[in-house]
Amino acid sequence: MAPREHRTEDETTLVLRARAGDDDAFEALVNAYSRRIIGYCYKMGARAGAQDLAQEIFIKLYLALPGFDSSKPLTPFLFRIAHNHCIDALRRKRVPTVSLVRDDPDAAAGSEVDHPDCRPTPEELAQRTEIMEAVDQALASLPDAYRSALVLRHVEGLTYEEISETLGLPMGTVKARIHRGREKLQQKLRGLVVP
Amino acid sequence: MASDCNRWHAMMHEALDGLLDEHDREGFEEHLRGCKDCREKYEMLERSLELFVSISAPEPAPDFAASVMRQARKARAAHARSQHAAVIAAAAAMAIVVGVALVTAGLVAGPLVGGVLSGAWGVASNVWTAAAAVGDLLTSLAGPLASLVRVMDFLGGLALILAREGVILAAPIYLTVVAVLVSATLMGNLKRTAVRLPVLSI
Repeated sequence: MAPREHRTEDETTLVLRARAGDDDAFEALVNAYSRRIIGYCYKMGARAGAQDLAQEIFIKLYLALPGFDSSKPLTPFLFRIAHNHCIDALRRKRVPTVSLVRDDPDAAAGSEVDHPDCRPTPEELAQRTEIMEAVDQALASLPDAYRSALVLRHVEGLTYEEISETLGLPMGTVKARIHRGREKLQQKLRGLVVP
Repeated sequence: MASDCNRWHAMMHEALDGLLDEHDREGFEEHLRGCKDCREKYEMLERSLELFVSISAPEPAPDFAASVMRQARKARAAHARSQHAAVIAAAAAMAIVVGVALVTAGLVAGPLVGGVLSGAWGVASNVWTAAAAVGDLLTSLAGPLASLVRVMDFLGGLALILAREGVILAAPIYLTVVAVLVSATLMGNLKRTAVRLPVLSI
């Protein structure tokens, strides 16, 4: 998987402006990252509370931005805040962890709601929901250390160096966690992924 | 699993990350084509990751960014207030520390400084008392001296008056006395008294 281009000229400018107190620039950063941060919170286990958690993460970023070294990329810095905040919130059990797959079957259809012709049949939807629920449970059963490394690598597309910086771990530890996390995930999903 | 499989199994994660160089990638793909176990293992890893990535997260609410900004501004104001309160608390703490230090220093150094000041005050007081005593002495001496001067002046004046006027005043008296004595002598009764009559020396 090719790593995403996390640092663009626009983002650098936005970060500099936001650091200087330009709220419009910060709001643009929120818009740029909100989907990814909500997704990270959700996949780390904060199901119904993902939006609230993401909002708190952006507020933390807002307060921390004046001390941020703008010569460095924002992504590891932001995801480090997100990771620490998620782990803290989940350990305190103050975030609802009910699966959205179970509560909201339409969520499995995702953006397909906007394209009626592509809507799955009820049978397909039921099967997909079942699969997603199984994946959801498999993900939830992974230890936090493996889950966060896998989300950062495969969902967010961060490089090993960026994950090392985000989690504050040596590169070897990051690699080991990702490799073991993949193995564990594959074992948990064996019933769904057997060729 | 053959030892050859162990070698390629260890490379599966690098293959998933796309980190194999061209030579290793060709060898890995060739091994997968000929090894059902390794191919199935690799496919299961790929498939499980695809499922993992496919979990859809909720979309941000339409007012998500606006809500974040509202809360962020409130948080910034609260943060500023807390920093302000922290500065005040630090200043108060500093004032208390300085105050305690001053009181402590005062308790220790006070007697020393007080003693020095008290001593200096005592010396000054004694000098003042001595000066006052000298002043009183001079004042007390001045009275008698002035009186003496006044007496001497009076006596001097009287002497001058007597010196100037004495002869005129004393002459009739002296002449009267002399006349009486002469008369008595002449009467023959007071010859010895006349010998004892003082002579006025002017």
